[in-house]
Amino acid sequence: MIVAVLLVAAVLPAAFGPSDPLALHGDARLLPPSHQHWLGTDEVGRDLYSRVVYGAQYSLRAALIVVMAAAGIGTLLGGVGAYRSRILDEIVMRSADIMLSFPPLIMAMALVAALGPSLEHAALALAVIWWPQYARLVRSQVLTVSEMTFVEAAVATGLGPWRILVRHILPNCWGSLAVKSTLDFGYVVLLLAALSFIGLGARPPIPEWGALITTGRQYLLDYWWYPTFPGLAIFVTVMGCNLLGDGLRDFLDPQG
Amino acid sequence: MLIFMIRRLAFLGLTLLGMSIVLFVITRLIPADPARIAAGEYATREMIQAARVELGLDRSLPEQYVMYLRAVSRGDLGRSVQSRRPVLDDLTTHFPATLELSLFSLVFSTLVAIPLGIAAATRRNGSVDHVSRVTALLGISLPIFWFGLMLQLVFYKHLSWFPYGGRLSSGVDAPAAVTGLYVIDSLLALRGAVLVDALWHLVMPGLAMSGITIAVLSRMTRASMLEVLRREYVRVARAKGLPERRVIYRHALRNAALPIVTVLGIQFGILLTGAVLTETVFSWPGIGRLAFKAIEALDYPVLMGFALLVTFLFSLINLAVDVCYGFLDPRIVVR
Repeated sequence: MIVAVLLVAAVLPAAFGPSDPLALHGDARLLPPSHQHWLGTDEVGRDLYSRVVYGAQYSLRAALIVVMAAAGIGTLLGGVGAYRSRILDEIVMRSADIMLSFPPLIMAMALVAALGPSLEHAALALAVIWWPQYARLVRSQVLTVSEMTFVEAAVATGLGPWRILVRHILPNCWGSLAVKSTLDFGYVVLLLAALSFIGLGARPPIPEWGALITTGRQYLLDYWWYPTFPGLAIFVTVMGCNLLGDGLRDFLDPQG
Repeated sequence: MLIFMIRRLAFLGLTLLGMSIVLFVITRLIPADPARIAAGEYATREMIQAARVELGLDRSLPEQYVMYLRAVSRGDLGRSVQSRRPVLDDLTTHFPATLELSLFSLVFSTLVAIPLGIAAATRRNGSVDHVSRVTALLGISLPIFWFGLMLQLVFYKHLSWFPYGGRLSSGVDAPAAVTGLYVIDSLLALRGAVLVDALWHLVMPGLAMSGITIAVLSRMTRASMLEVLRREYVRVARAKGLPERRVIYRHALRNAALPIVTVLGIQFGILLTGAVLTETVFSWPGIGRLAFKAIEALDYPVLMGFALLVTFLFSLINLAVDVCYGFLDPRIVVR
């Protein structure tokens, strides 16, 4: 449910956002939540509700790109390595070991700082950091599945290795991939917001949630609504992903 | 045991080497020209060229990498652009604050999470179990920095129970530095008021950081305890008529400890890295805040030094966890 609403908000903000998130109203600065401005206004009189709704685009799109890129690269390298190429497997797994021994936030900080702070670079850095996890997951799945009888049967019928990998082995990995991507999506939203918060992600005036909190932080004690609602949006998103991920896991693997 | 240790150390060496390559590549990606920075703002072209030669930037990349490795192994991480002090000095002066905060948070989370996990496992699907499930969900979903801000709003602004930030109230002198951890130093100096003040300042940032650790640790404790409680020896212990407390703490918990220790170690590493966010929110003068300021000032040497230090500690902690395995479960060494 939560995730569905969020996706609609991200794709079609007009369905929720009653006004322009960038429109300035000099006479309506830092107003508390009211009928007119459901979540109040910010320091230059922009409607916070609209900004949070439009912010979903930035936060969710970036997170989606990260997870899809990481899962794509991870599946390709992990899958091909495990099924076909021992050398590739060895290279991929050793580099995965090294990548995974970095604390993710720190690695992301170093990378983004070097590339220059922006939401795109933050997403790029997280994708670079994230693929080894998928490579490991897919590799272990492929190794298990390729021992099974139906794969032997496929080999016996003379199908090519690529076809077997893509048509017969990988479809059996989708379940765990879906669960992991859903759970990761929430985590990535969290990390992207954290990077924005320390000045390494989206920059104002982009209404990305982490960036909203950074600006709103200066007004915390007197205008509580400003940083509170964007944070609530992050919190609800991440919780939604966690619930969805757990639900998916129970659905796909009722015994687990 | 010895072979296990040697193998593990060799792996650590390889990992560190790999990490140094990655970090070296990152430092080369930085848009700013280090020679220009070193030469100063008003340097002429010749001065910049001289600085470039001095820093070895005119040599080939592999040569530069070897120079970088040599410098790092000597503890030379360059000089901070802001403070003009060696980066290592900056890091070591700020590190105790981070260590204190992370340790506090780790102890606090352990005290909450392990009893919570045990209670959830022994009364499965009871009300405590539900509470632990919700706590865990909240813990992994809350953005640390936002949670910190909310704590400040409620406990500082509205209730005035805890201070806004910092390590000590203004007017309170820091205890003589022995360990750099104010809680321990004030105990050593027998200064009760300072101890109370230091603990007072630790509560909110410590709580803000603990969410994830409590979540992960309590779930792991629950799962591990459930696994163990089904075993025969637990049934035997109960059949012997031992009191339930003793069965749980002496017989079950010990055997459930291995995964719990793993999580504890990993979480300690994560706490050290999460310090960037908490310290920024609570003006906590640790390495995380140092890194945050370095980001603002584009002080790359400090930022890279920070990344190197934290990554190094992170792998060191992982090594320590692996070694603990050997002691907790002697069977692992055989493999």
